[in-house]
Amino acid sequence: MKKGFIWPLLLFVLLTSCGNGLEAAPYQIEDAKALIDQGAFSGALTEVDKEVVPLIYGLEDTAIKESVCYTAANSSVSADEVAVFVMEDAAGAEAAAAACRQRMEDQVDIYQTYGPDQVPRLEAATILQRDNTVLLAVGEPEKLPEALKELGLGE
Amino acid sequence: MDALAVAEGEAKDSSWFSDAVMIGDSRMDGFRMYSGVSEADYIVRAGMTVWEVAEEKRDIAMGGTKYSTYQVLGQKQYAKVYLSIGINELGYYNPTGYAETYGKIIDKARELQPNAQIYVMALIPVNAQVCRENGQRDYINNDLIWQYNDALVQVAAEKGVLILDPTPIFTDENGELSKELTSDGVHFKKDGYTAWKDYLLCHTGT
Repeated sequence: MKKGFIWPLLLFVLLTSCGNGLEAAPYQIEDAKALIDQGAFSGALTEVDKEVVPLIYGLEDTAIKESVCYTAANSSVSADEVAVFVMEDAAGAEAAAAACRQRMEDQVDIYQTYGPDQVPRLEAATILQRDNTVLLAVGEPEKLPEALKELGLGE
Repeated sequence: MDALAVAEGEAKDSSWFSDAVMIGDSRMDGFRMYSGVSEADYIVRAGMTVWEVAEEKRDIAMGGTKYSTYQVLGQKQYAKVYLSIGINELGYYNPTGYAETYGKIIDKARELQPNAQIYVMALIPVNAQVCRENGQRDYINNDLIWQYNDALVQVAAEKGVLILDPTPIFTDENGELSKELTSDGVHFKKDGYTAWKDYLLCHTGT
Protein backbone atom coordinates (compact mmCIF):
# COMPACT_ATOMS: atom_id res chain seq x y z
CA MET A 1 0.00 0.00 0.00
CA LYS A 2 1.43 3.37 -0.98
CA LYS A 3 2.29 5.69 1.92
CA GLY A 4 0.18 8.47 0.48
CA PHE A 5 -2.89 6.26 0.82
CA ILE A 6 -2.64 5.65 4.58
CA TRP A 7 -3.68 9.00 6.01
CA PRO A 8 -6.75 9.44 3.84
CA LEU A 9 -7.74 5.88 4.74
CA LEU A 10 -7.35 6.57 8.44
CA LEU A 11 -9.35 9.77 8.10
CA PHE A 12 -12.08 7.85 6.27
CA VAL A 13 -12.29 5.23 9.03
CA LEU A 14 -12.41 7.93 11.72
CA LEU A 15 -15.16 9.93 10.01
CA THR A 16 -17.34 6.91 9.27
CA SER A 17 -17.05 5.53 12.80
CA CYS A 18 -18.18 8.87 14.27
CA GLY A 19 -21.32 8.72 12.21
CA ASN A 20 -22.24 5.16 13.20
CA GLY A 21 -24.03 6.08 16.54
CA LEU A 22 -21.67 4.18 18.83
CA GLU A 23 -23.46 3.26 22.05
CA ALA A 24 -22.73 5.29 25.18
CA ALA A 25 -20.52 3.61 27.74
CA PRO A 26 -22.25 1.68 30.52
CA TYR A 27 -22.75 3.51 33.82
CA GLN A 28 -20.15 3.20 36.51
CA ILE A 29 -20.51 3.45 40.27
CA GLU A 30 -18.46 6.64 40.26
CA ASP A 31 -21.07 8.32 38.06
CA ALA A 32 -23.41 8.68 41.05
CA LYS A 33 -21.04 10.90 43.04
CA ALA A 34 -20.04 12.82 39.93
CA LEU A 35 -23.70 13.57 39.25
CA ILE A 36 -24.31 14.70 42.84
CA ASP A 37 -21.34 17.06 42.55
CA GLN A 38 -23.05 18.78 39.61
CA GLY A 39 -25.37 20.46 42.11
CA ALA A 40 -28.78 19.38 40.84
CA PHE A 41 -29.97 18.10 44.22
CA SER A 42 -31.39 19.60 47.38
CA GLY A 43 -29.53 19.07 50.60
CA ALA A 44 -26.85 16.59 51.40
CA LEU A 45 -27.16 13.12 49.95
CA THR A 46 -25.71 10.40 52.14
CA GLU A 47 -24.45 7.06 50.90
CA VAL A 48 -26.69 4.19 51.93
CA ASP A 49 -24.99 1.14 53.45
CA LYS A 50 -24.09 -1.21 50.62
CA GLU A 51 -25.72 -4.25 52.20
CA VAL A 52 -29.02 -2.43 52.41
CA VAL A 53 -29.20 -1.27 48.78
CA PRO A 54 -30.71 -4.52 47.43
CA LEU A 55 -33.31 -4.45 50.21
CA ILE A 56 -34.42 -0.93 49.38
CA TYR A 57 -35.10 -1.81 45.77
CA GLY A 58 -36.29 -5.37 46.29
CA LEU A 59 -33.44 -6.88 44.27
CA GLU A 60 -31.58 -10.11 44.85
CA ASP A 61 -28.08 -9.19 45.93
CA THR A 62 -26.70 -12.11 43.93
CA ALA A 63 -27.86 -10.42 40.73
CA ILE A 64 -25.92 -7.25 41.49
CA LYS A 65 -22.24 -6.95 40.60
CA GLU A 66 -21.89 -3.48 42.04
CA SER A 67 -24.24 -0.82 43.30
CA VAL A 68 -24.30 2.49 45.07
CA CYS A 69 -27.18 4.57 46.40
CA TYR A 70 -27.33 8.04 47.90
CA THR A 71 -30.46 9.39 49.59
CA ALA A 72 -31.32 12.55 51.43
CA ALA A 73 -30.86 12.10 55.17
CA ASN A 74 -33.21 15.05 55.65
CA SER A 75 -36.03 12.99 54.24
CA SER A 76 -38.76 15.26 55.56
CA VAL A 77 -37.63 18.03 53.22
CA SER A 78 -36.06 16.09 50.33
CA ALA A 79 -36.84 12.88 48.46
CA ASP A 80 -33.71 13.20 46.33
CA GLU A 81 -31.91 10.01 45.44
CA VAL A 82 -29.18 8.77 43.12
CA ALA A 83 -28.34 5.14 42.45
CA VAL A 84 -26.24 3.18 39.99
CA PHE A 85 -26.56 -0.55 39.47
CA VAL A 86 -24.09 -2.74 37.61
CA MET A 87 -25.87 -6.03 37.05
CA GLU A 88 -24.71 -9.40 35.75
CA ASP A 89 -26.33 -8.84 32.36
CA ALA A 90 -28.82 -6.75 30.42
CA ALA A 91 -31.75 -8.80 31.69
CA GLY A 92 -30.65 -8.07 35.23
CA ALA A 93 -30.48 -4.39 34.38
CA GLU A 94 -34.03 -4.50 33.05
CA ALA A 95 -35.11 -5.96 36.37
CA ALA A 96 -33.20 -3.24 38.23
CA ALA A 97 -34.83 -0.55 36.11
CA ALA A 98 -38.24 -2.04 36.86
CA ALA A 99 -37.35 -2.08 40.56
CA CYS A 100 -36.40 1.59 40.38
CA ARG A 101 -39.72 2.43 38.74
CA GLN A 102 -41.56 0.54 41.49
CA ARG A 103 -39.60 2.39 44.16
CA MET A 104 -40.54 5.69 42.58
CA GLU A 105 -44.21 4.67 42.60
CA ASP A 106 -43.94 3.74 46.25
CA GLN A 107 -42.15 7.00 47.09
CA VAL A 108 -44.80 9.05 45.30
CA ASP A 109 -47.45 7.25 47.36
CA ILE A 110 -45.61 8.05 50.60
CA TYR A 111 -44.80 11.65 49.77
CA GLN A 112 -48.38 12.50 48.75
CA THR A 113 -48.99 13.03 52.45
CA TYR A 114 -45.47 13.06 53.92
CA GLY A 115 -44.01 15.77 51.70
CA PRO A 116 -46.29 16.74 48.77
CA ASP A 117 -43.84 19.29 47.39
CA GLN A 118 -41.47 16.43 46.58
CA VAL A 119 -43.96 14.56 44.42
CA PRO A 120 -43.17 16.46 41.17
CA ARG A 121 -39.50 15.59 41.33
CA LEU A 122 -40.28 11.94 42.12
CA GLU A 123 -42.61 11.81 39.14
CA ALA A 124 -39.85 13.33 37.01
CA ALA A 125 -37.28 10.76 38.13
CA THR A 126 -34.67 9.74 35.57
CA ILE A 127 -34.23 5.98 35.14
CA LEU A 128 -31.86 5.00 32.36
CA GLN A 129 -30.40 1.68 31.27
CA ARG A 130 -27.20 1.13 29.34
CA ASP A 131 -26.47 -2.50 28.64
CA ASN A 132 -26.11 -4.17 32.07
CA THR A 133 -26.20 -0.92 34.05
CA VAL A 134 -28.91 1.39 35.38
CA LEU A 135 -28.87 4.97 36.65
CA LEU A 136 -31.63 6.40 38.86
CA ALA A 137 -31.72 10.09 39.73
CA VAL A 138 -34.30 12.16 41.61
CA GLY A 139 -33.34 15.80 41.80
CA GLU A 140 -34.34 19.30 40.80
CA PRO A 141 -36.28 18.85 37.55
CA GLU A 142 -34.93 22.12 36.11
CA LYS A 143 -31.29 21.22 36.68
CA LEU A 144 -31.06 17.45 36.47
CA PRO A 145 -31.31 17.00 32.65
CA GLU A 146 -28.48 19.45 32.05
CA ALA A 147 -26.37 17.86 34.77
CA LEU A 148 -26.83 14.46 33.13
CA LYS A 149 -25.98 15.86 29.74
CA GLU A 150 -22.83 17.58 31.02
CA LEU A 151 -21.48 14.27 32.23
CA GLY A 152 -22.62 12.26 29.22
CA LEU A 153 -24.99 10.28 31.42
CA GLY A 154 -28.23 11.25 29.73
CA GLU A 155 -30.24 9.56 27.02
CA MET B 1 -38.15 7.51 82.45
CA ASP B 2 -34.61 6.71 83.57
CA ALA B 3 -35.91 4.30 86.20
CA LEU B 4 -37.99 2.38 83.69
CA ALA B 5 -35.63 2.29 80.72
CA VAL B 6 -33.37 -0.67 80.02
CA ALA B 7 -30.01 -0.21 81.73
CA GLU B 8 -26.76 -0.45 79.86
CA GLY B 9 -25.31 -3.94 79.77
CA GLU B 10 -22.79 -6.05 77.95
CA ALA B 11 -22.49 -4.96 74.34
CA LYS B 12 -23.66 -7.41 71.69
CA ASP B 13 -22.44 -7.56 68.12
CA SER B 14 -24.68 -6.84 65.16
CA SER B 15 -25.68 -10.49 64.80
CA TRP B 16 -28.00 -9.59 67.70
CA PHE B 17 -30.33 -8.13 65.08
CA SER B 18 -30.47 -11.25 62.89
CA ASP B 19 -33.74 -12.35 64.52
CA ALA B 20 -35.15 -8.88 65.03
CA VAL B 21 -37.73 -6.80 63.25
CA MET B 22 -37.57 -3.00 63.38
CA ILE B 23 -40.90 -1.23 62.97
CA GLY B 24 -41.20 2.51 62.59
CA ASP B 25 -41.43 5.78 60.79
CA SER B 26 -38.88 7.81 58.83
CA ARG B 27 -36.37 7.80 61.66
CA MET B 28 -36.41 4.00 61.59
CA ASP B 29 -36.17 4.15 57.81
CA GLY B 30 -33.05 6.23 58.29
CA PHE B 31 -31.77 3.60 60.71
CA ARG B 32 -32.28 1.01 57.99
CA MET B 33 -30.38 3.11 55.42
CA TYR B 34 -27.45 4.37 57.44
CA SER B 35 -26.91 2.46 60.68
CA GLY B 36 -25.14 -0.50 59.12
CA VAL B 37 -27.70 -2.93 60.52
CA SER B 38 -28.57 -5.09 57.53
CA GLU B 39 -29.25 -8.21 59.59
CA ALA B 40 -32.69 -7.14 60.82
CA ASP B 41 -35.96 -7.12 58.95
CA TYR B 42 -37.65 -3.76 58.63
CA ILE B 43 -41.27 -2.66 58.47
CA VAL B 44 -40.91 1.05 57.89
CA ARG B 45 -42.74 3.90 56.26
CA ALA B 46 -42.06 7.61 56.34
CA GLY B 47 -45.09 9.20 57.94
CA MET B 48 -46.16 6.07 59.82
CA THR B 49 -48.51 6.73 62.75
CA VAL B 50 -49.88 4.47 65.47
CA TRP B 51 -53.37 5.06 64.16
CA GLU B 52 -52.59 3.78 60.68
CA VAL B 53 -50.90 0.73 62.15
CA ALA B 54 -53.77 -0.02 64.54
CA GLU B 55 -56.34 0.51 61.78
CA GLU B 56 -54.39 -2.02 59.70
CA LYS B 57 -53.97 0.37 56.82
CA ARG B 58 -52.29 -1.35 53.88
CA ASP B 59 -49.44 1.06 53.31
CA ILE B 60 -46.30 -1.06 53.55
CA ALA B 61 -45.09 -1.63 49.99
CA MET B 62 -43.38 -4.93 49.22
CA GLY B 63 -42.83 -6.16 45.69
CA GLY B 64 -45.53 -3.98 44.21
CA THR B 65 -48.18 -5.01 46.75
CA LYS B 66 -49.34 -3.11 49.83
CA TYR B 67 -49.69 -4.80 53.20
CA SER B 68 -50.62 -3.68 56.67
CA THR B 69 -47.89 -3.61 59.30
CA TYR B 70 -49.59 -6.52 61.06
CA GLN B 71 -49.71 -8.59 57.87
CA VAL B 72 -45.97 -8.20 57.38
CA LEU B 73 -45.25 -8.80 61.05
CA GLY B 74 -47.25 -12.00 60.96
CA GLN B 75 -45.22 -13.53 58.11
CA LYS B 76 -42.29 -14.66 60.22
CA GLN B 77 -41.40 -15.25 63.87
CA TYR B 78 -38.85 -13.04 65.57
CA ALA B 79 -37.01 -13.04 68.88
CA LYS B 80 -37.06 -9.24 69.12
CA VAL B 81 -39.56 -6.62 68.01
CA TYR B 82 -38.43 -2.98 68.12
CA LEU B 83 -41.09 -0.27 67.86
CA SER B 84 -40.20 3.35 67.08
CA ILE B 85 -43.27 5.44 66.20
CA GLY B 86 -44.40 8.86 67.36
CA ILE B 87 -42.98 11.92 65.61
CA ASN B 88 -45.80 12.09 63.07
CA GLU B 89 -48.43 11.98 65.81
CA LEU B 90 -47.28 15.18 67.51
CA GLY B 91 -49.56 17.29 65.34
CA TYR B 92 -52.62 15.63 66.83
CA TYR B 93 -51.81 17.10 70.28
CA ASN B 94 -53.12 13.88 71.82
CA PRO B 95 -50.51 12.11 73.93
CA THR B 96 -53.13 10.06 75.74
CA GLY B 97 -54.74 8.80 72.55
CA TYR B 98 -51.30 8.12 71.11
CA ALA B 99 -50.24 6.04 74.11
CA GLU B 100 -53.52 4.12 74.26
CA THR B 101 -53.24 3.19 70.60
CA TYR B 102 -49.60 2.27 71.06
CA GLY B 103 -50.79 -0.08 73.79
CA LYS B 104 -53.07 -1.81 71.31
CA ILE B 105 -50.15 -2.22 68.93
CA ILE B 106 -48.11 -3.80 71.69
CA ASP B 107 -50.96 -6.22 72.40
CA LYS B 108 -51.20 -7.17 68.72
CA ALA B 109 -47.43 -7.52 68.41
CA ARG B 110 -47.47 -9.86 71.37
CA GLU B 111 -50.25 -11.90 69.78
CA LEU B 112 -48.38 -12.16 66.47
CA GLN B 113 -44.98 -12.68 68.08
CA PRO B 114 -45.63 -14.63 71.30
CA ASN B 115 -41.98 -15.53 71.80
CA ALA B 116 -40.47 -12.16 71.06
CA GLN B 117 -39.12 -9.56 73.44
CA ILE B 118 -40.81 -6.27 72.62
CA TYR B 119 -38.85 -3.02 72.87
CA VAL B 120 -40.53 0.38 72.76
CA MET B 121 -38.37 3.33 71.79
CA ALA B 122 -39.00 6.65 73.53
CA LEU B 123 -39.20 9.60 71.16
CA ILE B 124 -35.82 11.20 70.63
CA PRO B 125 -35.87 15.01 70.94
CA VAL B 126 -35.53 17.42 68.05
CA ASN B 127 -33.41 20.53 67.54
CA ALA B 128 -35.66 23.57 67.52
CA GLN B 129 -33.40 25.90 65.56
CA VAL B 130 -32.58 23.39 62.84
CA CYS B 131 -36.28 22.50 62.63
CA ARG B 132 -37.11 26.16 62.02
CA GLU B 133 -34.38 26.48 59.41
CA ASN B 134 -35.84 23.51 57.57
CA GLY B 135 -39.46 24.61 57.74
CA GLN B 136 -40.61 21.89 60.11
CA ARG B 137 -44.13 22.28 61.52
CA ASP B 138 -44.46 24.09 64.86
CA TYR B 139 -45.90 21.04 66.57
CA ILE B 140 -42.59 19.22 66.14
CA ASN B 141 -41.14 20.45 69.41
CA ASN B 142 -39.64 19.00 72.54
CA ASP B 143 -42.41 20.11 74.90
CA LEU B 144 -44.82 17.87 73.06
CA ILE B 145 -42.24 15.11 72.77
CA TRP B 146 -41.84 15.01 76.54
CA GLN B 147 -45.63 14.84 76.99
CA TYR B 148 -45.86 11.99 74.51
CA ASN B 149 -42.97 10.19 76.14
CA ASP B 150 -44.54 10.46 79.59
CA ALA B 151 -47.74 8.89 78.32
CA LEU B 152 -45.89 6.24 76.31
CA VAL B 153 -43.69 5.13 79.16
CA GLN B 154 -46.70 4.60 81.42
CA VAL B 155 -48.45 2.38 78.90
CA ALA B 156 -45.26 0.49 78.07
CA ALA B 157 -44.60 -0.18 81.74
CA GLU B 158 -48.18 -1.43 82.22
CA LYS B 159 -47.75 -3.75 79.25
CA GLY B 160 -44.49 -5.10 80.62
CA VAL B 161 -42.37 -4.36 77.57
CA LEU B 162 -38.83 -3.03 77.65
CA ILE B 163 -38.41 0.71 77.24
CA LEU B 164 -35.44 2.14 75.41
CA ASP B 165 -34.41 5.74 75.93
CA PRO B 166 -31.48 6.71 73.71
CA THR B 167 -31.99 10.41 74.49
CA PRO B 168 -28.67 10.84 76.38
CA ILE B 169 -26.57 9.92 73.37
CA PHE B 170 -28.39 12.37 71.13
CA THR B 171 -28.89 15.48 73.21
CA ASP B 172 -26.85 18.55 74.08
CA GLU B 173 -26.69 20.38 77.40
CA ASN B 174 -30.12 21.88 76.72
CA GLY B 175 -31.80 18.55 76.19
CA GLU B 176 -32.14 19.18 72.48
CA LEU B 177 -31.02 16.96 69.64
CA SER B 178 -27.40 17.95 69.00
CA LYS B 179 -26.99 20.08 65.91
CA GLU B 180 -24.07 17.97 64.79
CA LEU B 181 -26.23 14.85 64.66
CA THR B 182 -29.18 16.14 62.69
CA SER B 183 -29.75 16.94 59.04
CA ASP B 184 -33.09 18.74 59.35
CA GLY B 185 -33.81 19.02 63.07
CA VAL B 186 -35.69 15.72 63.16
CA HIS B 187 -33.69 13.14 61.23
CA PHE B 188 -30.15 12.18 61.98
CA LYS B 189 -26.93 12.26 60.06
CA LYS B 190 -25.15 8.97 59.55
CA ASP B 191 -23.22 9.38 62.83
CA GLY B 192 -26.52 9.63 64.67
CA TYR B 193 -27.80 6.37 63.25
CA THR B 194 -24.61 4.48 64.02
CA ALA B 195 -24.69 5.86 67.56
CA TRP B 196 -28.30 4.66 67.83
CA LYS B 197 -27.19 1.19 66.70
CA ASP B 198 -24.42 1.13 69.31
CA TYR B 199 -26.93 2.18 71.97
CA LEU B 200 -29.29 -0.65 71.05
CA LEU B 201 -26.48 -3.18 71.17
CA CYS B 202 -25.63 -2.06 74.72
CA HIS B 203 -29.23 -1.95 75.93
CA THR B 204 -30.68 -5.36 75.24
CA GLY B 205 -32.10 -6.16 78.66
CA THR B 206 -30.10 -9.39 78.80
